[in-house]
Amino acid sequence: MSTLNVTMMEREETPQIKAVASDIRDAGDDAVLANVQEVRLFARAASGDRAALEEVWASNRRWIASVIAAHAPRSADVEDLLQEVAATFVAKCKDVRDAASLRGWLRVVAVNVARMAARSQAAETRAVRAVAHAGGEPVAKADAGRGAAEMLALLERLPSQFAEPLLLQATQGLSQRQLAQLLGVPETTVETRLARGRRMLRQLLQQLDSGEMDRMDAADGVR
Amino acid sequence: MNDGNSNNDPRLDPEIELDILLSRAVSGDRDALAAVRARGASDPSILEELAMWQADELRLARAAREIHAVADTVALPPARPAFGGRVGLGWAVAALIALAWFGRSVVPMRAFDAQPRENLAGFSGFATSDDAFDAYVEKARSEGVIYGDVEAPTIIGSRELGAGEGFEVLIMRKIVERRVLPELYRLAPVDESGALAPVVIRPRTEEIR
Repeated sequence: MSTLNVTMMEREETPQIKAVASDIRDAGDDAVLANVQEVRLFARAASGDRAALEEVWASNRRWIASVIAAHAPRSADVEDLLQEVAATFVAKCKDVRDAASLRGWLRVVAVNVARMAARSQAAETRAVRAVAHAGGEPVAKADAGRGAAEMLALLERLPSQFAEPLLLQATQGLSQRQLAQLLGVPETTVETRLARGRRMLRQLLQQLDSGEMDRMDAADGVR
Repeated sequence: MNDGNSNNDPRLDPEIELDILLSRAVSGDRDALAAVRARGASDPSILEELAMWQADELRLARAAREIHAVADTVALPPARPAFGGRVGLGWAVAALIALAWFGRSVVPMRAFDAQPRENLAGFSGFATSDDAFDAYVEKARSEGVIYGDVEAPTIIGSRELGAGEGFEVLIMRKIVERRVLPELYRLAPVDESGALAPVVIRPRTEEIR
């Protein structure tokens, strides 16, 4: 798309979209067009356009699920938590004033949902143990459903600030620039977190393969 | 943990510098890949490390695809669930199930102790709670609500009272009901304040025998 066409589009769009177009001009015309279209879509979704809501959800739910997986406990049902995010998206997206920040807002919602699940699970675990102690009979902990693969179980052992960029890059193939925008940190920070996260993951896999992890878990009383 | 935000740039640490190079290579940076291979010419362990990191990346991608598969099944709920307009058993049962699934599965004992028996609405016609329970079982069976057999109560705790008074036992009654619901909701917190909203859900289990 030529620069002339981009300029014509800017005149027709809202001040918000014009600002986005001018901010990302150095990324090239195609990227500018893609981002302007995206902001337009986000704006329509925020106004309650159902078709736009559906389109935004369909194109973003995968990485949102990755964010949930990075922050939620292993036994959490990602599908359930993703449904909570979907409900919040439908109910609250009209309150997002800056359509360009909709993706960042969705990430915050996903992180909060995952963290609340972790707190609920911790409370439930304490309650189950309390009933078991009171009754004198062992109470089997309810199966919270199938978890993710072994890799996701290992990712839970990483701090979420490292697990999240790892999963996001694996999920969406996002560039470090895009990751930086999503996470709200500098690109250099994203690069360092990816490197540290991969190193930690490598170390965990080495422990797993050598049996050292089982010995460590047994010593810590982890099932 | 220092993740690159502080003034002491951890990227100057040789170990971190190598990790960043490996990470770039694994992410698809061709220049970084060439640099790693060049270093590997004099230090083969670096090439082994690269191979392990690339294998890890494949495993991460497989895990990510599992997440994709889950995410692709989750659709947006209706903009405004038909909650307020529902009347009758279907809505009431859906609400009950929604409350149960919210996770408040452990109710403090004090909540039950504080409730006077005579205030239990609808049970005034029975001599004992056991009579009321038996009547419920009979009625529910006749309606086809009870699913399977009513199991014998399970003892989850017991203690001897002493002085020939007998034993105090805690028992759990388990009854499985089969209900047909017009819609299935789960009450879930939707924001930081914990405000609840109904969320349309799909059943967890796929088979009912």
